[in-house]
Amino acid sequence: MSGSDTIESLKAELQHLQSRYEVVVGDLEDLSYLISHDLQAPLISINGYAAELLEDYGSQLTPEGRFCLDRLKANTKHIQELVMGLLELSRLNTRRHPFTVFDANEAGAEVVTGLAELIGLTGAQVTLNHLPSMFGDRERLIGVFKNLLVNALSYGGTQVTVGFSAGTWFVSDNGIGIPASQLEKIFAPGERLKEIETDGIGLGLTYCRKVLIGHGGKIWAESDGDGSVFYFTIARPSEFQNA
Amino acid sequence: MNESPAKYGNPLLLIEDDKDHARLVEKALKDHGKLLNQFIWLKNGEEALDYIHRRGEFNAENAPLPGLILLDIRMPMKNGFDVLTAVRKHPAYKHIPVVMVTAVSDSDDVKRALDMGANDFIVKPIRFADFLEKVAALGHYWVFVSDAAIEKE
Repeated sequence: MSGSDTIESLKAELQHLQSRYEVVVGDLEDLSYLISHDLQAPLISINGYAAELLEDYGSQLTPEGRFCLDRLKANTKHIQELVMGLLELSRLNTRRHPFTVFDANEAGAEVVTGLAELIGLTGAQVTLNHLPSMFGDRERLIGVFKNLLVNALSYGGTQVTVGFSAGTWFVSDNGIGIPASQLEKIFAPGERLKEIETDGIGLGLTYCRKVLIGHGGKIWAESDGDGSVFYFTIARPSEFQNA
Repeated sequence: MNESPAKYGNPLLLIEDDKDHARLVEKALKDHGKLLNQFIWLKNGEEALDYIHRRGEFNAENAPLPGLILLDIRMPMKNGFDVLTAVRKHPAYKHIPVVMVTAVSDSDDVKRALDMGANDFIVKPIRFADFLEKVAALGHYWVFVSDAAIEKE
Protein backbone atom coordinates (compact mmCIF):
# COMPACT_ATOMS: atom_id res chain seq x y z
CA MET A 1 0.00 0.00 0.00
CA SER A 2 1.29 3.47 -0.80
CA GLY A 3 1.75 6.11 1.91
CA SER A 4 -1.38 8.01 0.94
CA ASP A 5 -3.45 4.79 0.81
CA THR A 6 -2.31 4.01 4.35
CA ILE A 7 -3.29 7.49 5.53
CA GLU A 8 -6.68 7.21 3.82
CA SER A 9 -7.44 3.86 5.38
CA LEU A 10 -6.31 5.11 8.80
CA LYS A 11 -8.57 8.15 8.44
CA ALA A 12 -11.49 5.88 7.52
CA GLU A 13 -10.80 3.66 10.52
CA LEU A 14 -10.57 6.67 12.81
CA GLN A 15 -13.91 7.96 11.54
CA HIS A 16 -15.46 4.55 12.06
CA LEU A 17 -14.13 4.37 15.62
CA GLN A 18 -15.37 7.88 16.32
CA SER A 19 -18.88 6.92 15.18
CA ARG A 20 -18.81 3.74 17.24
CA TYR A 21 -17.66 5.72 20.28
CA GLU A 22 -20.51 8.18 19.89
CA VAL A 23 -23.03 5.35 19.66
CA VAL A 24 -21.65 3.70 22.77
CA VAL A 25 -21.70 6.98 24.69
CA GLY A 26 -25.29 7.54 23.58
CA ASP A 27 -26.26 4.04 24.73
CA LEU A 28 -24.55 4.60 28.06
CA GLU A 29 -26.42 7.83 28.61
CA ASP A 30 -29.75 6.19 27.74
CA LEU A 31 -29.04 3.28 30.06
CA SER A 32 -27.96 5.53 32.92
CA TYR A 33 -31.03 7.72 32.55
CA LEU A 34 -33.30 4.69 32.46
CA ILE A 35 -31.65 3.06 35.45
CA SER A 36 -31.63 6.18 37.56
CA HIS A 37 -35.23 7.18 36.86
CA ASP A 38 -36.76 3.69 36.89
CA LEU A 39 -34.88 2.66 40.04
CA GLN A 40 -35.75 5.89 41.81
CA ALA A 41 -39.49 5.51 41.23
CA PRO A 42 -40.13 2.44 43.42
CA LEU A 43 -37.64 3.73 46.00
CA ILE A 44 -39.72 6.88 46.37
CA SER A 45 -42.77 4.69 46.92
CA ILE A 46 -41.03 2.52 49.53
CA ASN A 47 -39.91 5.59 51.44
CA GLY A 48 -43.35 7.14 51.13
CA TYR A 49 -45.10 4.07 52.54
CA ALA A 50 -42.57 3.67 55.35
CA ALA A 51 -43.12 7.32 56.28
CA GLU A 52 -46.88 6.81 56.16
CA LEU A 53 -46.65 3.73 58.42
CA LEU A 54 -44.57 5.69 60.88
CA GLU A 55 -46.77 8.79 60.83
CA ASP A 56 -50.18 7.14 60.90
CA TYR A 57 -49.50 3.92 62.79
CA GLY A 58 -46.27 4.65 64.63
CA SER A 59 -48.03 5.06 67.95
CA GLN A 60 -49.43 1.54 67.62
CA LEU A 61 -45.99 0.02 67.05
CA THR A 62 -43.48 -1.05 69.64
CA PRO A 63 -40.09 0.69 69.65
CA GLU A 64 -38.74 -2.35 67.76
CA GLY A 65 -41.39 -1.88 65.09
CA ARG A 66 -40.54 1.79 64.68
CA PHE A 67 -36.85 0.87 64.55
CA CYS A 68 -37.58 -1.52 61.66
CA LEU A 69 -39.24 1.28 59.73
CA ASP A 70 -36.38 3.66 60.45
CA ARG A 71 -33.91 1.11 59.10
CA LEU A 72 -36.13 0.56 56.06
CA LYS A 73 -36.04 4.28 55.30
CA ALA A 74 -32.28 4.54 55.93
CA ASN A 75 -31.51 1.65 53.59
CA THR A 76 -33.78 3.02 50.88
CA LYS A 77 -32.05 6.38 51.16
CA HIS A 78 -28.73 4.58 50.78
CA ILE A 79 -29.85 2.97 47.51
CA GLN A 80 -31.13 6.32 46.25
CA GLU A 81 -27.77 7.95 46.94
CA LEU A 82 -25.97 5.07 45.27
CA VAL A 83 -28.14 5.38 42.17
CA MET A 84 -27.53 9.14 41.98
CA GLY A 85 -23.82 8.63 42.60
CA LEU A 86 -23.55 6.07 39.80
CA LEU A 87 -25.48 8.37 37.49
CA GLU A 88 -23.06 11.20 38.24
CA LEU A 89 -20.11 8.92 37.55
CA SER A 90 -21.47 7.76 34.22
CA ARG A 91 -22.21 11.36 33.24
CA LEU A 92 -18.52 12.15 33.51
CA ASN A 93 -18.26 10.14 30.30
CA THR A 94 -21.45 11.18 28.59
CA ARG A 95 -21.83 14.84 29.50
CA ARG A 96 -18.99 17.21 28.91
CA HIS A 97 -19.12 20.76 30.17
CA PRO A 98 -16.97 23.54 28.71
CA PHE A 99 -13.82 24.48 30.61
CA THR A 100 -13.62 28.00 31.98
CA VAL A 101 -11.32 30.07 34.14
CA PHE A 102 -12.89 30.74 37.52
CA ASP A 103 -12.02 32.07 40.96
CA ALA A 104 -11.33 29.14 43.31
CA ASN A 105 -11.93 31.33 46.39
CA GLU A 106 -15.49 31.95 45.25
CA ALA A 107 -15.95 28.27 44.43
CA GLY A 108 -14.51 27.25 47.79
CA ALA A 109 -16.77 29.68 49.63
CA GLU A 110 -19.75 28.24 47.75
CA VAL A 111 -18.84 24.73 48.90
CA VAL A 112 -18.36 25.81 52.51
CA THR A 113 -21.72 27.57 52.53
CA GLY A 114 -23.36 24.45 51.12
CA LEU A 115 -21.83 22.35 53.89
CA ALA A 116 -22.79 24.74 56.68
CA GLU A 117 -25.01 22.17 58.37
CA LEU A 118 -22.35 19.44 58.47
CA ILE A 119 -19.71 21.93 59.60
CA GLY A 120 -22.02 23.10 62.37
CA LEU A 121 -22.73 19.52 63.44
CA THR A 122 -19.07 18.56 63.65
CA GLY A 123 -18.06 21.91 65.13
CA ALA A 124 -15.14 21.96 62.72
CA GLN A 125 -13.16 24.95 61.60
CA VAL A 126 -12.69 25.11 57.85
CA THR A 127 -9.97 27.41 56.56
CA LEU A 128 -9.69 28.45 52.94
CA ASN A 129 -6.21 29.72 52.19
CA HIS A 130 -5.95 32.30 49.46
CA LEU A 131 -6.50 30.29 46.28
CA PRO A 132 -5.49 31.09 42.70
CA SER A 133 -7.88 30.82 39.79
CA MET A 134 -8.65 27.44 38.28
CA PHE A 135 -9.17 26.33 34.70
CA GLY A 136 -11.64 23.52 34.14
CA ASP A 137 -15.19 22.30 34.61
CA ARG A 138 -16.32 24.52 37.47
CA GLU A 139 -19.28 22.37 38.48
CA ARG A 140 -17.25 19.18 38.68
CA LEU A 141 -14.26 20.74 40.38
CA ILE A 142 -16.64 22.12 42.96
CA GLY A 143 -17.80 18.52 43.30
CA VAL A 144 -14.20 17.51 44.02
CA PHE A 145 -13.82 20.13 46.77
CA LYS A 146 -17.15 19.14 48.22
CA ASN A 147 -16.30 15.43 48.36
CA LEU A 148 -12.91 16.07 49.94
CA LEU A 149 -14.38 18.39 52.54
CA VAL A 150 -17.21 16.00 53.39
CA ASN A 151 -14.66 13.22 53.89
CA ALA A 152 -12.45 15.42 56.05
CA LEU A 153 -15.42 16.35 58.23
CA SER A 154 -16.85 12.84 58.36
CA TYR A 155 -13.65 11.21 59.50
CA GLY A 156 -13.01 13.21 62.62
CA GLY A 157 -11.54 16.41 61.22
CA THR A 158 -12.05 19.45 63.42
CA GLN A 159 -9.44 21.56 61.63
CA VAL A 160 -9.71 21.40 57.86
CA THR A 161 -7.64 23.48 55.46
CA VAL A 162 -7.98 23.99 51.73
CA GLY A 163 -4.94 25.43 49.99
CA PHE A 164 -2.64 25.61 46.99
CA SER A 165 1.12 25.32 47.07
CA ALA A 166 3.82 24.64 44.47
CA GLY A 167 1.35 23.74 41.72
CA THR A 168 -0.64 21.35 43.91
CA TRP A 169 -4.04 21.75 45.55
CA PHE A 170 -4.62 20.17 48.95
CA VAL A 171 -7.29 19.50 51.54
CA SER A 172 -5.86 18.59 54.92
CA ASP A 173 -7.52 17.52 58.14
CA ASN A 174 -6.62 16.42 61.67
CA GLY A 175 -9.01 13.48 61.67
CA ILE A 176 -8.45 9.78 62.21
CA GLY A 177 -6.01 9.43 59.34
CA ILE A 178 -5.73 6.63 56.79
CA PRO A 179 -3.78 3.37 57.24
CA ALA A 180 -0.95 3.06 54.72
CA SER A 181 -2.54 -0.08 53.24
CA GLN A 182 -5.70 1.86 52.38
CA LEU A 183 -4.20 4.97 50.79
CA GLU A 184 -4.76 3.66 47.25
CA LYS A 185 -7.78 1.45 47.93
CA ILE A 186 -9.99 4.29 49.13
CA PHE A 187 -10.19 5.57 45.54
CA ALA A 188 -11.85 2.37 44.35
CA PRO A 189 -15.66 2.45 43.97
CA GLY A 190 -17.56 1.30 47.02
CA GLU A 191 -14.57 1.45 49.35
CA ARG A 192 -14.83 3.19 52.69
CA LEU A 193 -12.68 3.14 55.81
CA LYS A 194 -14.08 0.66 58.31
CA GLU A 195 -12.84 2.69 61.28
CA ILE A 196 -15.84 4.96 61.41
CA GLU A 197 -19.41 4.09 60.43
CA THR A 198 -20.70 6.69 58.02
CA ASP A 199 -23.71 6.86 55.74
CA GLY A 200 -21.45 7.40 52.76
CA ILE A 201 -21.74 5.34 49.60
CA GLY A 202 -18.04 5.13 48.82
CA LEU A 203 -18.10 6.81 45.41
CA GLY A 204 -16.82 10.27 46.35
CA LEU A 205 -13.11 9.63 45.83
CA THR A 206 -13.80 7.59 42.69
CA TYR A 207 -15.64 10.64 41.36
CA CYS A 208 -12.75 12.94 42.33
CA ARG A 209 -10.17 10.76 40.61
CA LYS A 210 -12.20 10.53 37.40
CA VAL A 211 -12.79 14.28 37.30
CA LEU A 212 -9.11 15.02 37.84
CA ILE A 213 -7.99 12.52 35.23
CA GLY A 214 -10.36 14.33 32.88
CA HIS A 215 -8.49 17.51 33.76
CA GLY A 216 -5.14 15.96 32.93
CA GLY A 217 -4.27 15.74 36.61
CA LYS A 218 -4.19 13.27 39.45
CA ILE A 219 -5.16 12.88 43.09
CA TRP A 220 -3.50 11.03 45.95
CA ALA A 221 -3.60 10.85 49.72
CA GLU A 222 -0.97 10.96 52.42
CA SER A 223 -1.44 10.25 56.07
CA ASP A 224 0.88 9.95 59.06
CA GLY A 225 -1.88 8.81 61.42
CA ASP A 226 -2.38 12.36 62.66
CA GLY A 227 -4.91 13.32 60.04
CA SER A 228 -4.75 13.16 56.25
CA VAL A 229 -3.88 15.32 53.30
CA PHE A 230 -5.45 14.86 49.88
CA TYR A 231 -3.39 16.39 47.09
CA PHE A 232 -4.49 16.96 43.52
CA THR A 233 -3.17 18.56 40.37
CA ILE A 234 -4.75 19.91 37.22
CA ALA A 235 -2.96 20.27 33.91
CA ARG A 236 -2.17 23.81 32.79
CA PRO A 237 -4.43 25.25 30.07
CA SER A 238 -1.66 24.99 27.48
CA GLU A 239 -1.46 21.27 28.17
CA PHE A 240 -5.08 20.62 27.17
CA GLN A 241 -5.72 19.32 23.69
CA ASN A 242 -9.50 18.94 23.87
CA ALA A 243 -10.92 21.25 26.53
CA MET B 1 -60.12 9.20 44.02
CA ASN B 2 -62.24 11.39 41.68
CA GLU B 3 -65.09 12.73 43.78
CA SER B 4 -67.99 14.91 42.78
CA PRO B 5 -67.04 18.57 42.30
CA ALA B 6 -66.41 20.42 45.56
CA LYS B 7 -67.21 24.06 46.05
CA TYR B 8 -63.62 25.08 46.51
CA GLY B 9 -62.29 26.69 43.36
CA ASN B 10 -60.85 25.02 40.31
CA PRO B 11 -59.56 21.49 40.62
CA LEU B 12 -55.97 20.32 40.87
CA LEU B 13 -55.08 17.97 38.03
CA LEU B 14 -52.40 15.34 38.68
CA ILE B 15 -51.12 13.51 35.61
CA GLU B 16 -49.07 10.60 36.90
CA ASP B 17 -48.77 6.99 35.74
CA ASP B 18 -47.34 5.50 38.93
CA LYS B 19 -50.30 4.65 41.15
CA ASP B 20 -48.19 4.59 44.32
CA HIS B 21 -46.81 8.05 43.60
CA ALA B 22 -50.28 9.36 42.80
CA ARG B 23 -51.60 8.00 46.09
CA LEU B 24 -48.68 9.51 48.01
CA VAL B 25 -49.26 12.92 46.40
CA GLU B 26 -52.95 12.79 47.23
CA LYS B 27 -52.11 11.85 50.81
CA ALA B 28 -49.56 14.63 51.15
CA LEU B 29 -51.89 17.27 49.77
CA LYS B 30 -55.30 16.20 50.97
CA ASP B 31 -54.74 14.30 54.21
CA HIS B 32 -51.71 16.01 55.63
CA GLY B 33 -52.12 19.25 53.71
CA LYS B 34 -55.90 19.46 53.93
CA LEU B 35 -56.24 20.68 50.34
CA LEU B 36 -59.89 21.45 49.75
CA ASN B 37 -59.86 21.84 45.98
CA GLN B 38 -61.10 18.86 44.00
CA PHE B 39 -58.21 16.49 43.26
CA ILE B 40 -58.38 14.81 39.86
CA TRP B 41 -55.93 12.04 38.98
CA LEU B 42 -55.32 11.15 35.34
CA LYS B 43 -53.40 7.89 34.94
CA ASN B 44 -51.35 8.61 31.83
CA GLY B 45 -50.71 10.97 28.95
CA GLU B 46 -53.49 9.60 26.74
CA GLU B 47 -56.09 10.10 29.46
CA ALA B 48 -54.73 13.62 30.01
CA LEU B 49 -55.13 14.47 26.34
CA ASP B 50 -58.68 13.06 26.33
CA TYR B 51 -59.46 15.23 29.39
CA ILE B 52 -58.01 18.40 27.85
CA HIS B 53 -59.89 17.86 24.58
CA ARG B 54 -63.02 16.64 26.40
CA ARG B 55 -63.34 13.52 24.30
CA GLY B 56 -63.73 9.80 25.06
CA GLU B 57 -65.16 9.48 28.56
CA PHE B 58 -64.71 13.21 29.21
CA ASN B 59 -67.06 16.10 28.54
CA ALA B 60 -67.63 19.66 29.69
CA GLU B 61 -69.35 18.42 32.85
CA ASN B 62 -66.81 15.94 34.17
CA ALA B 63 -63.66 17.65 32.86
CA PRO B 64 -63.66 21.12 34.44
CA LEU B 65 -60.81 23.48 33.70
CA PRO B 66 -58.13 23.01 36.35
CA GLY B 67 -56.51 25.75 38.41
CA LEU B 68 -53.13 23.99 38.29
CA ILE B 69 -51.64 20.96 36.57
CA LEU B 70 -49.06 18.72 38.24
CA LEU B 71 -47.47 16.87 35.36
CA ASP B 72 -45.14 13.89 35.70
CA ILE B 73 -42.29 14.09 33.20
CA ARG B 74 -41.64 10.41 32.83
CA MET B 75 -44.62 8.39 31.62
CA PRO B 76 -44.79 5.59 29.05
CA MET B 77 -46.09 6.22 25.49
CA LYS B 78 -47.25 9.85 25.84
CA ASN B 79 -44.81 11.46 28.26
CA GLY B 80 -44.92 14.77 30.12
CA PHE B 81 -43.43 16.70 27.21
CA ASP B 82 -46.15 15.46 24.86
CA VAL B 83 -48.86 16.54 27.30
CA LEU B 84 -47.15 19.89 27.91
CA THR B 85 -47.08 20.58 24.18
CA ALA B 86 -50.81 19.84 23.91
CA VAL B 87 -51.58 22.01 26.95
CA ARG B 88 -49.67 25.00 25.59
CA LYS B 89 -51.37 24.66 22.18
CA HIS B 90 -54.94 24.45 23.54
CA PRO B 91 -56.63 27.89 23.70
CA ALA B 92 -58.39 27.22 27.01
CA TYR B 93 -55.34 25.61 28.65
CA LYS B 94 -52.43 27.64 27.47
CA HIS B 95 -52.38 29.99 30.46
CA ILE B 96 -52.99 27.37 33.12
CA PRO B 97 -49.93 26.97 35.37
CA VAL B 98 -48.11 23.70 34.89
CA VAL B 99 -45.68 22.34 37.49
CA MET B 100 -43.58 19.45 36.21
CA VAL B 101 -43.08 16.57 38.62
CA THR B 102 -39.81 14.69 38.51
CA ALA B 103 -38.22 11.88 40.50
CA VAL B 104 -34.74 13.05 39.63
CA SER B 105 -34.03 16.79 39.50
CA ASP B 106 -32.41 16.23 36.14
CA SER B 107 -31.49 19.67 34.91
CA ASP B 108 -31.82 18.80 31.21
CA ASP B 109 -35.37 17.48 31.55
CA VAL B 110 -36.37 20.39 33.74
CA LYS B 111 -34.76 22.97 31.48
CA ARG B 112 -36.46 21.44 28.45
CA ALA B 113 -39.83 21.56 30.20
CA LEU B 114 -39.35 25.19 31.28
CA ASP B 115 -38.34 26.11 27.72
CA MET B 116 -41.50 24.42 26.48
CA GLY B 117 -43.68 26.55 28.71
CA ALA B 118 -43.88 24.80 32.08
CA ASN B 119 -44.00 27.27 34.96
CA ASP B 120 -41.99 25.43 37.57
CA PHE B 121 -40.95 21.96 38.69
CA ILE B 122 -41.20 19.99 41.91
CA VAL B 123 -39.24 16.93 42.99
CA LYS B 124 -40.83 13.73 44.30
CA PRO B 125 -41.75 12.95 46.98
CA ILE B 126 -44.00 15.99 46.97
CA ARG B 127 -44.31 17.67 50.36
CA PHE B 128 -47.23 19.94 51.07
CA ALA B 129 -44.94 22.77 52.23
CA ASP B 130 -43.00 22.72 48.94
CA PHE B 131 -46.24 22.53 46.99
CA LEU B 132 -47.60 25.61 48.77
CA GLU B 133 -44.35 27.43 48.06
CA LYS B 134 -44.59 26.70 44.31
CA VAL B 135 -48.23 27.75 44.23
CA ALA B 136 -47.44 30.99 46.06
CA ALA B 137 -44.59 31.72 43.64
CA LEU B 138 -47.02 31.36 40.75
CA GLY B 139 -49.16 34.06 42.29
CA HIS B 140 -52.43 32.26 41.67
CA TYR B 141 -54.61 32.21 44.73
CA TRP B 142 -56.93 29.38 43.86
CA VAL B 143 -55.79 26.90 46.49
CA PHE B 144 -58.19 26.34 49.35
CA VAL B 145 -56.67 24.86 52.45
CA SER B 146 -58.44 24.10 55.69
CA ASP B 147 -57.14 25.96 58.76
CA ALA B 148 -56.25 22.72 60.50
CA ALA B 149 -53.40 22.19 58.07
CA ILE B 150 -51.69 25.49 58.90
CA GLU B 151 -51.32 24.54 62.57
CA LYS B 152 -49.74 21.22 61.67
CA GLU B 153 -47.09 22.82 59.44
